[in-house]
Amino acid sequence: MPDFSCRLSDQIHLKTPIILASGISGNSDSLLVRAAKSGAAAVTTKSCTLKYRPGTDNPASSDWGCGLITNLGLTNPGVDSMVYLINAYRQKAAESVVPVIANIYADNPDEFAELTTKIKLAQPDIIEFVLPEYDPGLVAEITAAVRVNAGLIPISVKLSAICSHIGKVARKAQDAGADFITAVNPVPGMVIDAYAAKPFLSQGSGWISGPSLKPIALKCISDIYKEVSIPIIGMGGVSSGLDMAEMILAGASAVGIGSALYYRGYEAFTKILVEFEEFMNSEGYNNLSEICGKIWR
Amino acid sequence: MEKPFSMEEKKSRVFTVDKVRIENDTTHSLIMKEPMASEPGQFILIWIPGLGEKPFSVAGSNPLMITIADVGKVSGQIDRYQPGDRLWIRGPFGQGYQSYGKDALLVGGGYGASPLLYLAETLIKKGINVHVFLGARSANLLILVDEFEKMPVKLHITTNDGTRGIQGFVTVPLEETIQQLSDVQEACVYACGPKKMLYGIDALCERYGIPRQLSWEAIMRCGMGLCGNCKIEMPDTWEEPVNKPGSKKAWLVCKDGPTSFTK
Repeated sequence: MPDFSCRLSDQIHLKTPIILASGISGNSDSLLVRAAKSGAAAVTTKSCTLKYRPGTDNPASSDWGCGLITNLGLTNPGVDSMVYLINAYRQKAAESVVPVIANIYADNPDEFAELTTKIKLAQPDIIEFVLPEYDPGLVAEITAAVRVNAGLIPISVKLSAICSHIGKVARKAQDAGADFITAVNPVPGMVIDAYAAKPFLSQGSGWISGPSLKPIALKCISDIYKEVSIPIIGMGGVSSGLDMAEMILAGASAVGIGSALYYRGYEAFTKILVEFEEFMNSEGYNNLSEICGKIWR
Repeated sequence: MEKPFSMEEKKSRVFTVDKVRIENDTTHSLIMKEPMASEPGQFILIWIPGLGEKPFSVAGSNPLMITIADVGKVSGQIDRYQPGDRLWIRGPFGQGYQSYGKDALLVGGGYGASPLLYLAETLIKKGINVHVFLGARSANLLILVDEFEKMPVKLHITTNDGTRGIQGFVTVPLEETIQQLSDVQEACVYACGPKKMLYGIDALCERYGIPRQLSWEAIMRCGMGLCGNCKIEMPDTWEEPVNKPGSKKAWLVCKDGPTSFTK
């Protein structure tokens, strides 16, 4: 059997490279426990903000055929409750506990600094942050603010496919102190119902994830891989073992799944790993470093 | 390796109201012109463009029928629909009821009875002996009584205030019927209603060792098993499947359910 152990840093060792991405079930400690028991090697909380956000009206999501569109409106209980939730997750998971990545979102560097100080109380294994925009100067400023306030906790910058020159921006984040890059966040999109002559989602537009995001994600990850020396947590439309192999070949060290839970349920974690193992065996690979970024070698 | 899913569209489709049937002061059924292949106990999402989207049980599949209680802004709007009006529906979603054994005891609390008429029809076709128990706070909140009276079923009605049928909870005639069953292993209780009622029915069934299929209600958002909004904790009696570790404490009504099975 190939060696699936995934060493993201000196501190972060994952049993396998498969992670629960942010946004899925991450507002519930018991669902994070379920993901951990189902085979996630790390779990990510839903993006949390300084204050509670109730989220959007229904419809908030749809399967439009080649992928999903969602706009739940950053529903989250606020950072203070998120700290409680992370602690509750650890307690309830007991021996099934896996590292937890706390995802945070703010509008400016000052808010990010405050949010990082607060989420740090839960001692997450990684703090991952979503940027309000991708201006390279602002990315560096926010990364530095999170870095300073995170103490010894590793930090990961989450980039979206809409970020132009994503490799260069990732490089800026690395230079400003990021330990990892998470890529990619879904891209904006809209689904219109022609008969209703209206957008389907209550908010008009949303974010496109699932299979249609994968080729976009692969391009972004390979661009980032060429520019940085820190590990990449890759994600975007991974729903099979082969998808996972492609993402690692593009340069990801670990892979997050989200929409796969819609397509395949919580069993997605084990199913994807079994398929990935089948691929590794059939191609004669022994460990992850052999294939990480191999398309460039 | 096989593709793990098919890329067929699961967007909302347009349905047209054919007939409207009044069930009680606040509840009515819409019978559509079009069918939708589905099982009793599954749910659909009805979208009113520009207003919102809400889950409803399937009350009949050919043609599609939905029983709606006027309890919110979406339901309130649908309440005004007339033959010829259009609405947008996606689904069906979730796990429905499964036919089991020789005797079926169907229990509906208030508008929780909405999927049971369709279930009764399906079970009768399979030669299963059907008892129906409808309970509500008061006579004007009972639904589908006339429809069940036309069917070859044994109908039991309870109201909390005694305005119709036996005064008390629906579990009273249910327990009496369970006691009269020749073989509880060959019978099954199918229930739909508020969480509190389902917990009560589950405890009663556990005492008599009778299998049950409970259909749970929750406030749904994504309806796709992703947001976690409809997560509930299952009763202690429910056995967690080996392939779904952690699901007992975090059961998704939209994806794992809405129907749970306990044998």
